[in-house]
Amino acid sequence: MADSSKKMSLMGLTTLVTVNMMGSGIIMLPTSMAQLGAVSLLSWIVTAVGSMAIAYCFSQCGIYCPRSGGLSAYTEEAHAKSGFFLCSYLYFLSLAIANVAVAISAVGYMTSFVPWLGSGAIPLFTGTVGLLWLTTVANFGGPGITGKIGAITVWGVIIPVAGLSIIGWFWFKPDLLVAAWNPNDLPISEAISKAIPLTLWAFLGMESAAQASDAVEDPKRTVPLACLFGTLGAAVVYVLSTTVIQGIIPNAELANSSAPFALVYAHMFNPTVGNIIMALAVMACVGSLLGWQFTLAQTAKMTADQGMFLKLFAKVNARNAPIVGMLVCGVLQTLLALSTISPNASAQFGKLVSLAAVTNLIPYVTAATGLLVMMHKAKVGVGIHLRNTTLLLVAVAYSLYALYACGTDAVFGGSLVLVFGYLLYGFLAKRFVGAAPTAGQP
Amino acid sequence: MNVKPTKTQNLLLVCLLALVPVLADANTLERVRASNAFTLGYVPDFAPFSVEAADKASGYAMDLCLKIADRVKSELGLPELEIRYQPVSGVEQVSAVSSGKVDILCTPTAPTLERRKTVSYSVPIYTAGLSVVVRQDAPPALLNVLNGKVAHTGPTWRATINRGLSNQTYAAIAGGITDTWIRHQLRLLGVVANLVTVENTDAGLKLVADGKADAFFAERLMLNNLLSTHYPDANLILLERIFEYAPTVMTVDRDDEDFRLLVDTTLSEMYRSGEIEQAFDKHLGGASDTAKKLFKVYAIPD
Repeated sequence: MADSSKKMSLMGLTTLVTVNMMGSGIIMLPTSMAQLGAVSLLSWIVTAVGSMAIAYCFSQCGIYCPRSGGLSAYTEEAHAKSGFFLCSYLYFLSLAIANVAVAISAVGYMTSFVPWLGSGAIPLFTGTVGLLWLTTVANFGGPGITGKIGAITVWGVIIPVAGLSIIGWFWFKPDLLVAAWNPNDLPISEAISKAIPLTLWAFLGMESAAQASDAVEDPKRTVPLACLFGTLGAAVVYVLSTTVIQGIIPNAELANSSAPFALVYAHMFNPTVGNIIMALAVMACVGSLLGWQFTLAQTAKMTADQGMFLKLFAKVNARNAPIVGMLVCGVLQTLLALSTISPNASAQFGKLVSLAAVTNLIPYVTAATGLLVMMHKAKVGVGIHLRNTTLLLVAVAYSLYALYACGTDAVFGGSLVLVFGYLLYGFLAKRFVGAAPTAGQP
Repeated sequence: MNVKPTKTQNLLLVCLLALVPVLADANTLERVRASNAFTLGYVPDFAPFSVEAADKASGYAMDLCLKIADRVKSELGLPELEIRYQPVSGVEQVSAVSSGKVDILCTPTAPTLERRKTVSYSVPIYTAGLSVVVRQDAPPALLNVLNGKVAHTGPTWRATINRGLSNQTYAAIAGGITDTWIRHQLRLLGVVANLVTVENTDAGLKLVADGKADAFFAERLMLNNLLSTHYPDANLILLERIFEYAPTVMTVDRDDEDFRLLVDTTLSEMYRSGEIEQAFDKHLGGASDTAKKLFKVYAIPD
């Protein structure tokens, strides 16, 4: 099949999901956790279980609803056309904003190699826009190329982070971990509740498997597996790496490090190795940006295919890449990146980034609840129904908690954006008058 | 023989005992009356509290001392009382008062129990405290932390902007507050920081102005004064927050409670009448809300 070579394999998609989730967040995670002490590791129990429940629900959705559309298609099962539109709209907005933020962070990490980038507002802006366009253009080659580039950049995560999870144990000293357990002498319950926000959102991104369903081989099998394996892989790597690192570097030093993975490799080997690790981590960060730009364009394309976004997002080239849509996204993001120029504007942009987490989480609830209708349509057995419903409740409870924890400001902004979406859909709704309802029974 | 002390003998004894402290160390008010001069001690070059000007001194503390001198004049009925100004070096602050070289040390100092063994103190006249200076373009996360808030509120996810090497450098005066203090205060709030020490306030401000440090911790009023005199357009700002409050006082003789009462009465009345607030406006760039609350705390009721 000539077409399949341009599509992504299971391995490619799993990689994409894992790298997407870790993104630029993993680079500083050990420092944040060390500031609270090793006791923060307990929060992984809560967050990993919750995230696996969401990933499980999405993979079940992928099995019962193999049509194109990702989260939006799952949403439509229970929440009809307006649900499809709102889901796409919120998710698209989330990615468009988040990707700019990832680019800004990536440029920040690059400053240790190219000091010019850190020398002022204009270099930062130039670097950010350059990176956004680099990752946009790299996606012009279509999903196959994106998957191949991802297969290279993923080593930026595998070597420093996953590698540490394996070889780090040779340098591991249990007494260091014990000493780092609770350096601030907080009550355990308080320490955990302070630590949960550090790990709570670390799994956002597991849905990117579903968003790529148009661009993968055999999506009915690939999407659910990639979603599960990707999340599981990220969970294992997160837990192991953040545990082992606290047994190698004394707590005070780790809590005060701006490049914890580079620090640990410099400690295990020598500073040169530390610098190489830092470079690899930056490469992984750029790789994840590539994956997210791809997901952004795919989300727009799928929605345009349903007649809900402008048609230009749906146009693909011979290599199955929606180039025009990518260019439009690139221009939109360049405008967002202008915020880096003034401190006031960056403070405002920081609020948008928090809001983007909210608009990323709302689709989780709308999509996961679609599973209830899918199971009804598929007339599944009582046992499966009970198991899926239980995990669905866990997933939704986790999503609601994550939304709650986003804080008043972020949820406030997210709500305004959501309500504005209803206005937009009002203009679109006439297109679907007379069409047979696609979901729900009379 | 069983002699019963008479009433006269008792009175004599009381009078003798009352003379003992006077003999040991002539008290302030007696000395002022005898010499017809009231000597104000001050530490020169301690702007904006006390600055040498010709053969006099000016500043916030000097204005307060002149008010006290006015009251001494009226209470002792000495309208022609001479006001003398006596510069005192930093090390002889305590001995200048206890030896009677000066009648009052106007320049505010931080009281200690050890010094209370030789001198006494007025009610507080100024709340010193540890404050911090940053550059105008300080990142919001740093400002949040220094203002006692969590560096970053809202979700921490892959998109949370992290400029990578967001390592902050804090400066403090050597021998002052310590590395441990800063770490203890700021670590839980989630900022990565290095600490460097400097010789004096000037050197610390220079580090921040040159971008070699992100925040400099030092005494608020000295910071305020240096900022307005040496760094009018260096883009440095002093945050409102005071980390550790330290009330400072005037030093008086330990053995003259009447004089101390006179000083405290004058200051308490100035607090209540708003005169201290005017002195703040004149010398200290205005009183913050916290300072105004403390005025009520420091003034002793009638």
